[in-house]
Order: sequence, then C-alpha cells, then structure tokens
Amino acid sequence: MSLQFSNLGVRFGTEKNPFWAVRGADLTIADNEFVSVVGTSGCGKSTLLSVGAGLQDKTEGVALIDGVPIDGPGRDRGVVFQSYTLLPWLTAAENIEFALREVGVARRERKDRAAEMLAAVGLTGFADRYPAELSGGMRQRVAIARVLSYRPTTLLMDEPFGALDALTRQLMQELLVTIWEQTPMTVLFITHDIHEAVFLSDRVVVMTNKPGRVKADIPIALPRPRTHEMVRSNEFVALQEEVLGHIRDETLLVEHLV
Amino acid sequence: MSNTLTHTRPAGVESPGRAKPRRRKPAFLRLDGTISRAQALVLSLAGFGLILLVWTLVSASGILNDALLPNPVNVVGRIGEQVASGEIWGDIGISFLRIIAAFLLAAVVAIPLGILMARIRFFEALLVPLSEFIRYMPVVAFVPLSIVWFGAEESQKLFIIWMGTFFALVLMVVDDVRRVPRELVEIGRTFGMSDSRVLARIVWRGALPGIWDSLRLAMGWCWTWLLVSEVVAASSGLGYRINLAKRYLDTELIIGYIIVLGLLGLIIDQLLRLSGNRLFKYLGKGRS
Repeated sequence: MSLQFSNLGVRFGTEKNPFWAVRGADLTIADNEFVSVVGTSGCGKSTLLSVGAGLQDKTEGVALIDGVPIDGPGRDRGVVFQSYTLLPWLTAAENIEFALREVGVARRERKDRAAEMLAAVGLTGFADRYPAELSGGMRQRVAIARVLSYRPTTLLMDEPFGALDALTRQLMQELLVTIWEQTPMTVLFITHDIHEAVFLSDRVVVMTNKPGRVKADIPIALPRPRTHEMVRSNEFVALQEEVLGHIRDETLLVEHLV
Repeated sequence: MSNTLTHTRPAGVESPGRAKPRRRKPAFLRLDGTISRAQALVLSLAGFGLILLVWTLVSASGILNDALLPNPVNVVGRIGEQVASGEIWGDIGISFLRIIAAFLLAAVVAIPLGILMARIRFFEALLVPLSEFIRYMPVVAFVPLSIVWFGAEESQKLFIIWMGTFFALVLMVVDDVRRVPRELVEIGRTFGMSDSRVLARIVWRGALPGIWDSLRLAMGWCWTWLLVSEVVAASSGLGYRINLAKRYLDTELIIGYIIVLGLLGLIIDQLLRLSGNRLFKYLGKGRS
C-alpha cells in the first residue's frame, strides 16, 4: 500500500495560541517501501505517524492510504510504539491472541498463529510470560510479532527501539530488517537515531522543527540484504554523514547554538 | 640528604577523605534502608506494646477515674462477655451488611462513571466539577437532612455511607483510569476496536489494579460513615451499641468496641490487599 501526505498540517493549542506540530509536510511512501523519518525531538515526526495511523486528525492538507483519504485507524495499518505496547495483564501469547481476536481471526487459528509469530521473533519459550517478566527487547519483539500476526499491509513504527540499550537495539534492527526483506511491506519508521534510519531504510527523510515539514529526502542505495558488516563501509558512513549534516543545522537552530 | 621532604602532618589533622572509621547506622535507620522480616515484626509489635503499656500505667496510676479510663484487662473481659452472650455477633453482622451494601452501591456507580469521566470529555466536563464540589460538602452536615428524609431506616445509613464514599471514590477512579497509558488505547483502536470496546476490554482492565487500591481506601471511609450514621440514629449495630453504652457510662464496652472496629477494618483491608496482590501478580515486583 502507498502512503501519501501532501501539504499536511496538524495544529494543536487554541485558536488564539495555535501550535503547528506539522505544517506543509509532503511525503509519499511507495508500496513496500521502507522510509524512515528522522528529526530533532518535537519536530512533529510522531504526529505525522499518528495521522497515518488514523489516530490523529489532520487540520489541513491531504493524507491518503492507497489513494483513499485516511479516516480513522484500520487493520490495514499496524502500529508499534516505543513503550506501553503490551497489555500487562496478558501473557506474550495472549497479547497476540487478543489482537487476532479483535481483528476477527477465528478462535482455532489464533493459538497457532500466536505460536508461529512468537517463533519468528525467537520467543517460543516465553509464550506464557507476562510483559513485566520480559526484558524491554523481548517486549518489543512481542509487539512486532503481534502486529505482524494480523498481516497489515503498512507498518507504522514510532521509535520502537528508542528505549532499548545499544546492543539490544542493534539486534532488533537486524531482526526487523530480516523480517522486512522476507515479507516486504510499506513501512513508516520514526526515529532520532541516524545510524538506525540508514541501516533499515530505502529512503531517509529529515524533518524540520516548528512547524514540522520535510527538509531533505535521501535515498539509501545500499544493497540488500542489509548486514551488520555494512555499517563500516564508506558508503554507509557517507550516507550517515549526509543525514547528520541536515539534522545538525536543525539542532543548532533549535538549541539556540547559532 | 638532610633536607628531605617528610610528609608529616600537624597533630590532629586527618588526611582528607579518610575520616575516622565511624560505625555505620543499622540498615533500618538509614535513608531508604532495609529491614529484615524479623526486625520489622518485632518493631511493629513494640509499637502496639508501647500503647498498651502507657494505657496500663495511666489506668493503674489512678490519675483518671476507672469509669473514664478502664484498664485493658477489664476491657478485654467486657468484650469476652459480649462474645459469650453472642450480642457482639449481631452487632457486627448488621453493621457489616450495611457497609457491604453501601460500599457495593458506591463502587458499582463510581467505577463505570469514573471510567467515562476520565476518558470522554463530555462526561468529564459534565460531572468532574460537580463531583469536586459535592466532595467538599461536609457529609456530617447531611446527617440531619438524612434523618428528615429517611427517618432512622436502613436507607438513611446507606445514604450517609454512600455520600461519604461515592464522590471521593469516583474522583479517585478517574485518576486511576487516566493513568492507563494512551498508547494502550491507541493500540486497541488500530485493531479496529470501537470506543466502547476499548473502554471495556482495555481501559477498565488496565485501570483495575489502581481501582482496587482506591476501593481499599473507600472501604476505610465506609467504616467511618457507618459509625456516624449508627451513633446518630439506629437501633442496631456497633455504633448503636457504643451510643447505648455511653448512657450507662460503660466505657469498657465503648473502648472494647472501638478496638474491635479497628481490628475488623484491618482484617478487611488485609484481605483486600492480599487478594489484590494475587489478582495483579502479573505486574511483578512493582506492586507492593
């Protein structure tokens, strides 16, 4: 599915004291394309994702999924957040079964599919653990297994690895990129980690601050499948520098350092 | 070399950072320290023992008339009589029924209303300011009115206990429900769940541990308002018996019943706490 925003604006605050989180943002993600949006904190990148998910109403502009205006959330678009993603009173397997039930999968099929998805993220032995008994990385793996279990065609991820330690984060990126390369979907991935964005994406989009709009759109022509060794290549480092350059200007402005 | 630099110090000056080895405070006195189970038990018993000791000494000293402050042994004896005659069971029974009825009535209304007030702006705007306002009306002031309206009937007690619990409880439920992370609600919506389904299957369930704790507190208030309503107008129950004992200057029974009330409250609270720990085990160590 393709995801398209044009001249998108989202206003918070009051009529008298408006605050535009996003304004004049243009972004198109082609079918089965993996696009990351990076930017300083508060640049409206999460708001963009919320509009795509149908969780946030836009104030102006156009937001389309496969050419159809987005009107509320839907099962075609799966979402993964940074935290509070699992229902704490349900085990890992039950969390997946809960989602499957709500999207209308038959009872008999739910158990099998939950087990299958947990295996896909390497958590077979943890099916009966509650979220509090899982590490942060495991929780996000369950959340990813859950969202993939009902086979959405678009995946919207809002800093899904932002709360994880560096090593776990790296392993999760490799897991995600492997899954995506096996079964491509349209992905909008929000992050402030430039390395992560370059490693995962087909394109990296840099957003400006206040109001959030797209400042740069950098194609990532690295070959696939992506491997951990690639990150040391000159190409990778150059791309990372390029993205960093755009964000750096922005950060200096935001932090009043120039 | 005669001119060597020797590191001698003037007498009495300690090297910096190596203060005299000082005995550390025991762990249970340190800020955010620790305590063993046995130590905790001994100390909590000591707290009770201290009160009992002061009471015994004061009543033995004769400063206060025996009718004003009976000694502990006589109080226990008086309660023993009440148990032997069976009267105490009737008193506890009727009071307990009143509490349970009023508590359930408050909870059954406060929980669904609190969920709506916490998450749907319409109900928030309509009911939160109103509840805040009524909560600050002293419930005691409603007692005369309740007697005018209901007489000394059971409904009068229910009304007072309900008034004393409901408005504070509903606002606490609102807080509990607001603490359910927005992300969980949004995840539910991405599964295609309707608003009412999200409220019933995610918000309510997610707020339950917090609501449970609020109910525990509300149960405590119930005892207070039960006693107020029974002392004022009743012909049965623990409060009625206490009021009756006042007429005969039966302070042994009054103090005895106050202690019984404390024990009953403690037992119910601990039962709720333990069942809560069991029900919400999935939250892990984060829950006390």
